[in-house]
Amino acid sequence: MQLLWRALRWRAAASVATALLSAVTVLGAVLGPLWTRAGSESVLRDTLTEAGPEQNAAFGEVLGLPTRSALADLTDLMTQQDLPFHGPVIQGLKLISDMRVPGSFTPYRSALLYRQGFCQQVTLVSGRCPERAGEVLVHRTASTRMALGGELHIDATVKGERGSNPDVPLQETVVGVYLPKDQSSLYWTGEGETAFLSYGASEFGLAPIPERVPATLTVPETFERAAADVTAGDRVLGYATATRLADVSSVRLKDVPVLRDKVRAAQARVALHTSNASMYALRDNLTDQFDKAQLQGRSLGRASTVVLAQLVLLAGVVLLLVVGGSATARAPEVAAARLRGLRTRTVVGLAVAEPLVLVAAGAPVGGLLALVTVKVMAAVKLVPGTPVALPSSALLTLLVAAGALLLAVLLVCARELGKPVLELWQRTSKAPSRGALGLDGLLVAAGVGAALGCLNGPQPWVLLTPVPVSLVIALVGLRLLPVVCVPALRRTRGRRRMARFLAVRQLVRRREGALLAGLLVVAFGLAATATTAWSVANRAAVVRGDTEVGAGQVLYVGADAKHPGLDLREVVRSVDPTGTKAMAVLEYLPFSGEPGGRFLAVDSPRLSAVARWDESVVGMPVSQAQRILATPKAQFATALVTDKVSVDPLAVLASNTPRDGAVVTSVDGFQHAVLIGGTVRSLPRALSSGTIVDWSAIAYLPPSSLVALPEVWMTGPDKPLQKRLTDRGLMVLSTDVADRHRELLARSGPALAVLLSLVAAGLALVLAVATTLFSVLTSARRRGWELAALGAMGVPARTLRRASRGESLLLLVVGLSLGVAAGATACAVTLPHLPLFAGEGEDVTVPLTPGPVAVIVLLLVAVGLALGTSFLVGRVLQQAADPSRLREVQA
Amino acid sequence: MNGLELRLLDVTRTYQADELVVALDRADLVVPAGSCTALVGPSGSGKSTVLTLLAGLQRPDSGEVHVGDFAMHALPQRRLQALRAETVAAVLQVPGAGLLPWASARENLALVLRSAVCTRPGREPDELLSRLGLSSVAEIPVARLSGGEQQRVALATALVHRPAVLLLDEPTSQLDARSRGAALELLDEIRREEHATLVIATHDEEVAAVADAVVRVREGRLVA
Repeated sequence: MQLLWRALRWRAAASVATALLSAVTVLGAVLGPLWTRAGSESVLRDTLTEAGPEQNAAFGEVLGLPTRSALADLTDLMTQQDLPFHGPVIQGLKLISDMRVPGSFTPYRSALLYRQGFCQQVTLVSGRCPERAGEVLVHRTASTRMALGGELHIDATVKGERGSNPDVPLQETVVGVYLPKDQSSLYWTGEGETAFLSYGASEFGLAPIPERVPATLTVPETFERAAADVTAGDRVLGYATATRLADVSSVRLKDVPVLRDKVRAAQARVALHTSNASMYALRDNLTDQFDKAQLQGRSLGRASTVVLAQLVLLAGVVLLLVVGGSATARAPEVAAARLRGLRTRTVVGLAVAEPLVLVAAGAPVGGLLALVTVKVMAAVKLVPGTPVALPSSALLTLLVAAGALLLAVLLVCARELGKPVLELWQRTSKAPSRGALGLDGLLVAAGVGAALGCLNGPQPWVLLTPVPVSLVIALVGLRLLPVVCVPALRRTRGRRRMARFLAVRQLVRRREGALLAGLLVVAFGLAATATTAWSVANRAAVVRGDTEVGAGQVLYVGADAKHPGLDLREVVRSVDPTGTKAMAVLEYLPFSGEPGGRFLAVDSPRLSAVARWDESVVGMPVSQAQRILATPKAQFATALVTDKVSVDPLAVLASNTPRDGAVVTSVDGFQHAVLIGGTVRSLPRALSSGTIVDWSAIAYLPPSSLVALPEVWMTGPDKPLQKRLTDRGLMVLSTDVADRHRELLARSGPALAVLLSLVAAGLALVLAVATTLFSVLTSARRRGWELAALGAMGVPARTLRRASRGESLLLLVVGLSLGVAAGATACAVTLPHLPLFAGEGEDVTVPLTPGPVAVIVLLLVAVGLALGTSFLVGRVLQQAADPSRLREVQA
Repeated sequence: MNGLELRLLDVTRTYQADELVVALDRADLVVPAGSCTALVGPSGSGKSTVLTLLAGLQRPDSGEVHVGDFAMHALPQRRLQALRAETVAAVLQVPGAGLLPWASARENLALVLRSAVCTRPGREPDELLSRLGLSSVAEIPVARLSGGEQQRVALATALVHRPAVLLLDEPTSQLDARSRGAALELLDEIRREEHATLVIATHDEEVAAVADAVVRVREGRLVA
């Protein structure tokens, strides 16, 4: 053991390098599962949080006559055991009904709604809460619209499920008028849309047909009475509902499979209760969120595997080269042991013990480093509080990687055991192969083929492309290196520039020099590609986040019931008279899958100040867009459309339609005849599929059967401004913030994969520089002897120092230059194929060039490494070149 | 332990370099047990090949090599290694060959004594090192020693387990007169007291003079 320790110290550089390379190889292997696990946890939490309570809650529903017995059945079926992350049940009953004031023919459609504990969730504007069958609370909007006053009777009819089913008359007594305390609170989850949100636009004078009013609240006995009036066999539009909200903050990846199974089992059990009279269903979108998160997690896992396979391969190859080199260096010791007839176990120990011990010691260090690296990356990038656990897959990977390394090292070292003793002392270098050029040609062709294969292969394979590209450029570049260097060699020799001559000669003639340069080219190539990809991904997150939201912050608003009939544009203009902070927008949502995209009506003079309008992304200066939007012609709105919108020129039917007009179809299913003022690549909020018109165009648009979404776009979160808006009668229903979108995109699966590739490239760079140092350190004895000999011959120490530094500097400059060329080429071919966002969303064109900061940082790091390494190398060799070394036997 | 008789019978050994090199050409040699034989001849004449064949470090292309009753040309590697541990010791021309560079002279000797498959009691390492003038450098890693010092350590390592056959390739080539005298004195003592068989390849006439017989090697042929 003592001798082993002595041997390890004797070859300190090789020992450190072997252990380090083992650690890096294992680090690379283990980083994948660890990062995938942590990233997937983060993605899961983001997905669940973003989905919101509407998507996470479990909704039990009985479609048919809503009775208390159905409700009790439903509640019993949704047990805590089946839904362990869900809270207590909120029961509800609902009927769709039309209400008329006696003597009036105008119907107002409303949901007759019971929701457990509703009296605590509303503010009574007047009257009291209902207590008996037939007593109802009406919303203030309904009260105003229907001109109700005091307690009175109204006629209602419960709507039949289909046209064939007769409506059921129902007498209601209005006992009060209410306003919800907070209609966006968790209590209304699952009912908020039916009860309140669909009616928002009507408050801005944009009433849909027929007019609808918010929910009418009542007690369960009302439903019992209605049920008594329904003829057996008739079906009404009614529901019994049981809602259980989920606490998603505590859901972890390990819970997902169990939760899926439980929900599936519960759904099956609930569905079993379906009869002719009523249909039972349990809707739980949580599993859909799991699917979404799992999709991203899988894509991250595949990408991580591909990215880290490159690092593992690189580190593994270098490790085997280092181990092979040290095995050759130990060969005379093995020979000595055999010459002296030492025991077989001693001979074998001398051959393999050192690398095995070092690899075995490096493996757990690599695992530990991977854990620390992922913890740091998680703290910086992932959702705060994301757990970084050591999954069994990571442990298995660690064991497999360590086992594979030990086996490979054993095989490499065991070669020395089989050689004859005399051969172990011989150090003849192999003559260069005559077929090397042909082999290089084949390798270049294989590299090009592999690169093309990666580009056209499955998505994660694209991330592999930089490796074959870098290898091809390294091969070609290093073949050309002697062609470039040999004339320089002649010149330096001719002019007696000893330092340069020695530096160039060492680089051209030493086989290790070419190998190192190749390694540096690949490492720099990977670093350049990863830095560019990271820079582009960051910019993409910013561009995409800004474009998705449209402005720094978007408020989705309704009108306070005290202020019906508000003009949204005027309200916004009054609170922001300068037009620099807020803008009114109406958004017509598209049906899913429609090619027309979103249709936006904006207060266009404020577009430049408020909207996130990036000219390089949109493809048009905002000032030009404003000019176009501000000039309607005849009775047509002038629109800007994205080039992906399906604009049908044949639909320009009317004789009075301008020649450059078109009908933009499929916005909410109706057609907008607009004058196309220009085409752009993308639009804020609408991404690559949408149309934008000025607010004034609303007057030119045909009436829609569906309502628009009123929004206020703001430059960013601004509490005082928001307060002024609410003071003017606007209710903020929800908000959307661009920075939040950026944040989410920056930690979505593809972005996490790109970050990992940056870390892997950084490790590859460290590996390359460490290998350069190792190579110099291990040859320091021999090189030091040579330098000492040159010194003894009268070559000045300064010249020798410059020669040593020049050699490593030259090596790094060659590696850096070719590496940057490799990186640029890899970026050009890879980035257009690299997924920057998760899912199949509409695209936003992002410039695929690195930002100046990334380029500067990369160059500074590279130059710093080059100069630092060069300095260190010069120092080491200078120390090794002590003239007293000449008394030693030349190694 | 008494020495063993060494025999080369019609031995040919060639090497494939850029062209075929005949190191030994149908060579015959008999070295009586307990004698000291010097091999002399120009560089590249085949002296080292004779020694490495006798040590079982390589095999002849044809012919037979015997050390006592052992047919070295036919023994498996494992037996050859055991034989080198117990009976045959070689000091090769390459300085430092046969030594662990990171271990000291004393550790090299101790390792041989501890690990060798040898049943006889060995020599006292410190005494041996002292006889060869290495006491002062006994704790220094041998790679840090000069060529002459390494050569003496290699000699000590070969002698420490009292071999019956000692094969020495230029054992004094890097030694000064005093060290050479001490080394030769030690070898003479071993031959006299332990009756070991010695074969010494040398250019040194003084070394050749202490031998019982001198064999000249020229172009792969041995001439007594």
